[in-house]
Amino acid sequence: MFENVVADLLRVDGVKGVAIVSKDGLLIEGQASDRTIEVESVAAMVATIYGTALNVSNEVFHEEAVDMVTLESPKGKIITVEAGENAVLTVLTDPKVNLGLVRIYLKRNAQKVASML
Amino acid sequence: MLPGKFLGVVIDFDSTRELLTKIKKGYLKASWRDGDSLKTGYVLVSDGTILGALVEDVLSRERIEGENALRKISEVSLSKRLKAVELYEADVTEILRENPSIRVENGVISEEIPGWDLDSLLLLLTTYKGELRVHSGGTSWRLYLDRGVVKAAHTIRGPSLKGNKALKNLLLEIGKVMKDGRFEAGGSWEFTAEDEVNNGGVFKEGVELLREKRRVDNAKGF
Repeated sequence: MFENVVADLLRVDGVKGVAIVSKDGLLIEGQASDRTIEVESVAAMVATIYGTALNVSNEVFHEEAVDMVTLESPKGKIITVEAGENAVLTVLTDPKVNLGLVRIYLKRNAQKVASML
Repeated sequence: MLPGKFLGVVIDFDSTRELLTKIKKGYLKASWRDGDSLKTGYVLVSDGTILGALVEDVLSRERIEGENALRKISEVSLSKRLKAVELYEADVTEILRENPSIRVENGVISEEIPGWDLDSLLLLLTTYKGELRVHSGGTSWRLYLDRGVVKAAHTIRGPSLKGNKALKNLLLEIGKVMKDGRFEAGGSWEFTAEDEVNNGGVFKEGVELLREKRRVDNAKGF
């Protein structure tokens, strides 16, 4: 059902992996162009990162919402957005990816996922 | 990726064919898994007519275009691997101008229509040009249709019949087809003179009459 979403994001230059993850850490749909990436393991970790970010936002800003969580490392980035009540959408990218473009595609596709779940 | 304005996603659909009428000018887009790979198919549509098709491997970026792409999409559609289809409004003429190799002539997505669904069959007959296979029990017929007119017919399972005899046999068995058979549209067929049919309009007329009869019978039930 979410193959279009995964395909759209994988087509963006610099995106190496895509995952739609339930908020309790289960992989709903995912694919990586880089075979060294284990999408299921990433899914579990991403849900944890997102959950922690929500707690921090709530504690610091008294806001139970997070627009986007970005993890940057010398070897790449992981960017996660909410995709409806029960899921998040995340991409793994090269370090020098066009962040603006990735964000646009991520938000657009997160809305699609939310509408289908 | 083709340019276009996203209109929405359809996830509950009985046939890919019905989606062709949901956009005036634009394309359908759907992705599916193919072994280790992910593929995306595009079907360009204008006023219910398929004008182009493209299949792209998301990882390798290899493309299949035109008739071959449409055949691939049909195959995937028939095996029910298309779970969600996105609809896009687009300038189809411009897309075809920039990608002339994706053009198809008389395109159709191969489709199964259950025997009882005469409305869908009649809708198909209005615009369809190509092969129609009809299956019922131990008999199958192959027709070549041109917008509702049968140009050629023969049996492919059951008694060996060609031309007018094959069409007559089908019309005699049409009640059984409606009950537990199916129609399968798709492909093209180079028929011979022996397969040719005169007065091939009777098939569509027959289906229309049966639909009317069913309406009357249903109304009487009330």
